[in-house]
Amino acid sequence: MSLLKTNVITSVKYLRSFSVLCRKSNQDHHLKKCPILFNTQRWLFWERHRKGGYDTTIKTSNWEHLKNGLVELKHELKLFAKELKELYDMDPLLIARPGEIDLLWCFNSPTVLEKFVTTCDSDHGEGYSSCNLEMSPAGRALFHGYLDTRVPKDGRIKKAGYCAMRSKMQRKSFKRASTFDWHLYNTLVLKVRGDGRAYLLNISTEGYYDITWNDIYHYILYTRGGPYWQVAKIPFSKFVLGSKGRLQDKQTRMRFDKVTHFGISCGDKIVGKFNLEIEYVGLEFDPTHDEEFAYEMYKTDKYIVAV
Amino acid sequence: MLTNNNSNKMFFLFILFFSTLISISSNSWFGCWIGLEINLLSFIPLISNSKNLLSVETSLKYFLTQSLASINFLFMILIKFSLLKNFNMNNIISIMMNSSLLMKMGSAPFHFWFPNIVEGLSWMNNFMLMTWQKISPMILLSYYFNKNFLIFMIIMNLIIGSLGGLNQTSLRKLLAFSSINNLGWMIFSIMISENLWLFYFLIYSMMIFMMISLFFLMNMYFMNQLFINNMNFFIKLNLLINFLSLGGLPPFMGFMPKWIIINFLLINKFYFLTFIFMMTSLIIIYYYIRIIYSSFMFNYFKMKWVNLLMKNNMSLINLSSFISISSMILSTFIFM
Repeated sequence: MSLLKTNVITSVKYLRSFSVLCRKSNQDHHLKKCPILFNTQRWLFWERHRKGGYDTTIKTSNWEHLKNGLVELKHELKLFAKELKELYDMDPLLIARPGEIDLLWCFNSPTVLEKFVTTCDSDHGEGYSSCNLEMSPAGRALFHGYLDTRVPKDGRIKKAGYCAMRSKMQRKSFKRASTFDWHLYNTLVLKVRGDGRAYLLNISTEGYYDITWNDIYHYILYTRGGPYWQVAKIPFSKFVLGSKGRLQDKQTRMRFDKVTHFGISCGDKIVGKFNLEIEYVGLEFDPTHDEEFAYEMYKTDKYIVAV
Repeated sequence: MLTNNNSNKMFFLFILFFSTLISISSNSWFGCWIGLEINLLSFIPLISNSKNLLSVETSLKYFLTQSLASINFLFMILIKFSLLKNFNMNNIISIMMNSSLLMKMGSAPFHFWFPNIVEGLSWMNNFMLMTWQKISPMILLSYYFNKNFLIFMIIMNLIIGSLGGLNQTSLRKLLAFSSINNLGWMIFSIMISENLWLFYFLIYSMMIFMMISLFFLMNMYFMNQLFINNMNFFIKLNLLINFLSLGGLPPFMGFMPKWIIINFLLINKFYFLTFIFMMTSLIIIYYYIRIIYSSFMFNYFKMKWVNLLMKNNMSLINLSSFISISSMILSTFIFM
């Protein structure tokens, strides 16, 4: 078996990623040399890491941490003052008028792109796709790249080929984690110009406990290719619950009050380039839409658990 | 609970009521703790509803906080038995015991779980949490309280209950902060007399019941629903009366217990405390009036296909408005 040269990662972690019951094979030397991910298997009792074992921390020295912190301090103090002023005003948004779209992100300047992070399978040596989020010639955000379903030949993974962009975690002042509050709305509105491929919209509602850390609500957005923009209004009742990519048997409605991330991903198993131009992502309250959840749960026999 | 049986609910409700009785009528602190534990045990099945991820999270949070408070309580009881040989009311062990009971009730400064959990429960469960679950900790509090500590806690309750509700858009959280504020009043009434506490508690429960039943019938959980729904005038009037009654404005029912407490406060020369009671009540009433004013004045849209037909249930609303307005006057006839 030929060894594959993957990305250079400074720390190499040793791990048996096969079953405990297997005998020790003589392919150990091969596994030890390959820079392997930390802990990406499915744990029985609890999720140890919020990010599923992918080590994404950037290692900096303490001195650099201090310097970065001092630079950020002024900005954080301003944010804190703004929050105090909001508390003092005591004027929260009470109602979302129907027909009005409240924009979350309007991609008309490069600064908005910094609120998103792009990931693809080649980041951790799990594939060969590439993706990028930048401004298009038309002045809007362009999420583009090349999707490749080739699997790296070192036996770690079975399937490959995904690219995703996701919003960064909402932060209050002093880097405190915060969430979106979408209880006033019931529809997601996107103005996109796609290339005919199907993209997946992901709304992540990490709750308080580790069971729900990987809960993502998905919706497949079919785009029309072509030069015309398309406005997609998707009610929240149509989103489907999945965890770590697997659709759950027991489906429940999305919770609106503590939404953590919003993302778009491309993983439709078609090898080739993809381009998705986005003008805005917004929310709307549609009073005519009174469906609570689009997917029915049927009464199952008693031997089917967890449903 | 896989099914939503009424028989299941009846069973757990029965144990819930029984546990409070165990707790308050036991002649040993250990019996009190047992009652609190059974209370927790029987309340959890009532609130855990596995159809919804939010309610699962909520019931787990409730379990964790309450069991922590119970552990604390038990430990302090045991320390008291083994170390202290006197029956002094004002010492550090009583502070710890009071703290654990205050945490059970959701009183400041242990209140952080309360709005969070109230946000995840349905209206009927909220009613149980805000009224019945407070009985046994409060009566246990009355058995062994530390006066100075409790007065400090009362002040914190009042301030946090009034200031916390100012920036809320969710009706449940609003009622949670109002409940925290009313806890301040109730704890002070415990220090005056148990009879007065019972009176305050009954009237508070009645007011909360009227509010919650209104919100439950109209299925309203957030403030935007107050403006969107095409409520007829009498429902809005009922909302006005009940909110003002909860805030303690005369001539509504809610003013009566607060009046008696202020009477006691002034007779015993607690002037600073009276000042705080008054000011925080004002802040709460300010917020209620803001909501009612919006719901009366703003007429965002009258949609023809959302017609809130309350013709069958108007009797309950009319009755509750009547009680709120006239109970002050009618109560004078009782003592004639």
